[in-house]
Amino acid sequence: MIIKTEDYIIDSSILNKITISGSMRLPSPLSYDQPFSLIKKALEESTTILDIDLTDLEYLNSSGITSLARIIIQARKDDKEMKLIINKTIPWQDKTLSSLKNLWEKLHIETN
Amino acid sequence: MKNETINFDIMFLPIDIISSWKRASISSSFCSHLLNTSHANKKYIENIISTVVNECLEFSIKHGVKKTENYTLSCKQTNEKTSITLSLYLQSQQITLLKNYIKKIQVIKENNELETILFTKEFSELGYAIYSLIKDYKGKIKIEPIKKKEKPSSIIKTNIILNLNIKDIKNDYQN
Amino acid sequence: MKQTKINKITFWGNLDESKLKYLKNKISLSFKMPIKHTEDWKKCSIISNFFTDYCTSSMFKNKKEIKSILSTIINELIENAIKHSYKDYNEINIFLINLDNEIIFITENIAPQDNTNNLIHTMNQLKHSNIESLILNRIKNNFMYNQENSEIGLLNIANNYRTTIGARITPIEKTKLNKIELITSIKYE
Repeated sequence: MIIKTEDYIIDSSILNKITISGSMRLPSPLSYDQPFSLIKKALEESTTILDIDLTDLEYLNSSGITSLARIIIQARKDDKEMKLIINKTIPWQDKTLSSLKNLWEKLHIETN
Repeated sequence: MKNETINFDIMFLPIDIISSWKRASISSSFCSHLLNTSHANKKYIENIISTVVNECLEFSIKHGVKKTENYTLSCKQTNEKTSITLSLYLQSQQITLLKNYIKKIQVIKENNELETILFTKEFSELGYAIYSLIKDYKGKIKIEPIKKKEKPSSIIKTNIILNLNIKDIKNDYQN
Repeated sequence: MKQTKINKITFWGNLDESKLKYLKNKISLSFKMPIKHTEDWKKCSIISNFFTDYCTSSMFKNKKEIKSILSTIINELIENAIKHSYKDYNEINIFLINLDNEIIFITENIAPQDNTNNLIHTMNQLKHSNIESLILNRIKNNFMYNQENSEIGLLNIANNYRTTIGARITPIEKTKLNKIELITSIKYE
């Protein structure tokens, strides 16, 4: 499935992989429920490590980071392995997402 | 290095951003564009400034009171420092809460208890924004009520001052 | 051109002056920054795009077209304010007022007397029935006399778009400078 708006694209059409690109600055964690439902669904259906490719996501605000962090906590509860593929040249990704590793030992961070 | 100072003010109505949320992002991209004079790592620094300004604006829209009054975002940049001052209306108890919350986040940061902030009720997801500003961007926050409080429920014009050290940010990029 | 010293607040152009009374209480966005003519020229475009994007972000109908028109007009007005500012007082103030099917855009700057007189001349020409011919004449004159500034920006806006323009000129005491408030009303559907 693909969610496409003026600002961002979320693509979950490949099994075990989600790609998020563009800029996501939605008003609250609640407003991420609908677009991030694709991540939750992909996580439920994943047969191996779920790759989340964020290399072309220019911005994600604190509401989005909070929502993503909550999904990681859920993955920990369900014992699902995840990998965030990040872009080192986008500062918030390098700085913020790396610290999310503390939430779940089976969360891997790969720098692209 | 050329001694360059950039100084500008934007005055906006919170209600306008509530009616079109994208305006917060448009404004933060604009500020980062104007504030970034660096050539070597332009995109990197712009992304940081835009992230910080956007969180600042989102805070004012969500937690500020008197949403039909003008709020001001003042940006000042020297070679050393970027200073962002947000002038908004807060209730006096919100100021106390915010000050305590910033202290609490310092402790959370020291103990690496990230999960605690993700589910706190005070200032909701903005807890993460403050945590990130302090931890990831080595930023400094100062809360400065412009008028003295009269009673606990009173609304006070307040300045929230964020300081970012551009030298530190540039060093981060090089590392 | 005759150099007249302005002694009191005056209003020029084809915009209804009574509109000004309530405008400043309805400002939805304003921006203030010192801008240097030569060094900061690129900022005109950044600022005009910001105002345009901010203003049109809530629009759905004819958004692309309105955006293009607004950006052109706003850029011209900002360039105009910067070009005509006095070098030691280069702070520019910009205000946006969003009304029903109408956008009011105000620029404020400090100008020396000769630039003020040029502006008054242009404002008087706005009442002319054939602005297009005036623009062509100006282009010819600029070419003949090798003039640096084209001075056709405001006439062009008035001629090509649904705009009315007014200028309030306030003399600054003990100086030969004037505060210029250029008010442009842009109608759209």
